[in-house]
Amino acid sequence: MVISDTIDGEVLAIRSDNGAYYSMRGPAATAWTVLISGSDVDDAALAASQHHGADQSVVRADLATFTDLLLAERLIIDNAGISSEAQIPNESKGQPWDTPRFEKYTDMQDLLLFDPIHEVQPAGWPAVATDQPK
Amino acid sequence: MTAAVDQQYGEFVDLALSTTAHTRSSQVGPLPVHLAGDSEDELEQISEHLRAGTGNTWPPLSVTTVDSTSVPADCIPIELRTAAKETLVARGEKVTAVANGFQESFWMLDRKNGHAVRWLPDRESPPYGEQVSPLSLAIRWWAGVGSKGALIHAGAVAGPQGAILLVGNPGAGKSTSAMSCAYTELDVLGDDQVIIDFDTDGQATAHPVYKLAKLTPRSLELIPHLEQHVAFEGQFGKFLVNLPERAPGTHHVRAICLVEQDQAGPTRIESCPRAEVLKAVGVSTLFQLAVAKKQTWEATSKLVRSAPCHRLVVRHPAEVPDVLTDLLRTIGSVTQ
Repeated sequence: MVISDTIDGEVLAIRSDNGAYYSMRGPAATAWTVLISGSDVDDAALAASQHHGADQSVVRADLATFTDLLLAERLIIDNAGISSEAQIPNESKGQPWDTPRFEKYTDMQDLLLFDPIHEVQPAGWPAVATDQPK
Repeated sequence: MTAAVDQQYGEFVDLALSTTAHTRSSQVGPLPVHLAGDSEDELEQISEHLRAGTGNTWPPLSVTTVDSTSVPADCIPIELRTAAKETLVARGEKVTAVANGFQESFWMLDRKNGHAVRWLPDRESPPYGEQVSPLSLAIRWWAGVGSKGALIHAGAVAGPQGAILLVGNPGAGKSTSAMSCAYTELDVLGDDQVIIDFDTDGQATAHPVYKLAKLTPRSLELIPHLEQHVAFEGQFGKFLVNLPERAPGTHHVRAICLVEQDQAGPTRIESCPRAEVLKAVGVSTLFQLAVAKKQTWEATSKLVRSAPCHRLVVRHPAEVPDVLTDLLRTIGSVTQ
């Protein structure tokens, strides 16, 4: 399960299954916001480039790379099939575009591993569910 | 698929309810708690660890508590992985089942009726968590159902002007900072767990839950006036300390402080971005939850947006009560 929240322009994304959490600011917060809105990459690049006043082709290439990073961290799943209007944080409007990066924190993993929690399948308990983010 | 959970819940609850002969009611913060069980002593032990609250604003939580003498272990529908200390969660349409191997307890949680069934292997020797912080899993869950509020991972102290929440990652010093205020002019609402809820205008209120607080031997050395209030030595080398009995009151949250330790300079209040506070309290609360994660996160996020956020930089716990008293006075003079 991934929970995300935006506060004062900073995005927090948390994987509750493994204790990792991520901070994204500026262009990364913009990239996260447009990508999880479910827009296709061209629409996402257009929205992000307009927000930052940046070249759309550069933004598009950066978004593609950033998407791969988020998929690798299992913060997003491909083709989620939902679409909503992206609420890009106002704090970053007009801020120069830069390659989106996140900061990853793992200091809570010890706490989680102290008492690990597993979802189990409703049918045939106690088989442990496959470890897929939702 | 999920009907399997609900069906097994029905069978388990029927068996549990058939054994209960005693009842008792308590009030925890805004939450009425109705206990039922087959041992009057067990219900009394649970109640005496819960700190009385005010108001009656949440729908009641009913808890039926049983052990293996009345409901044999082979009736438990999920394996208790005590050796691995793992928690298993199964969700039905109406019911969530939680087998907590770390706390050696099994729970069935009925969302529609606000009914929790707690099963322990042996009520005569309850697991440590249920002994010192009974029902915390059920209270966390029920707070999240309907987004009433949350049981969050924070210390809290209160004065006449309201409450200050103390948040931070494990080991940051929030329990020690909170407990340094015990038996002073400030009231300690909790060392690391507190219920929060919200008025209709979004104002957050903090409510105490438990009468005992946990302190490490090192923290007890730093706060020597608490030695006379140690109730007993608990697990993991921590001491259980009685919190002072104060009359129940309404404690609006006036500030949230991210606790940090720094020997350079006196104990002080500094500015702190809200995102840092949310990281500390939201993330550490989330990872203690087997249920109601989304609702608890939303309540915690709302909380952080509802009050000024600061950094409490602590040189020595003995300096904390004066600093927090000054902060409350400053807030009180601004809001008057």
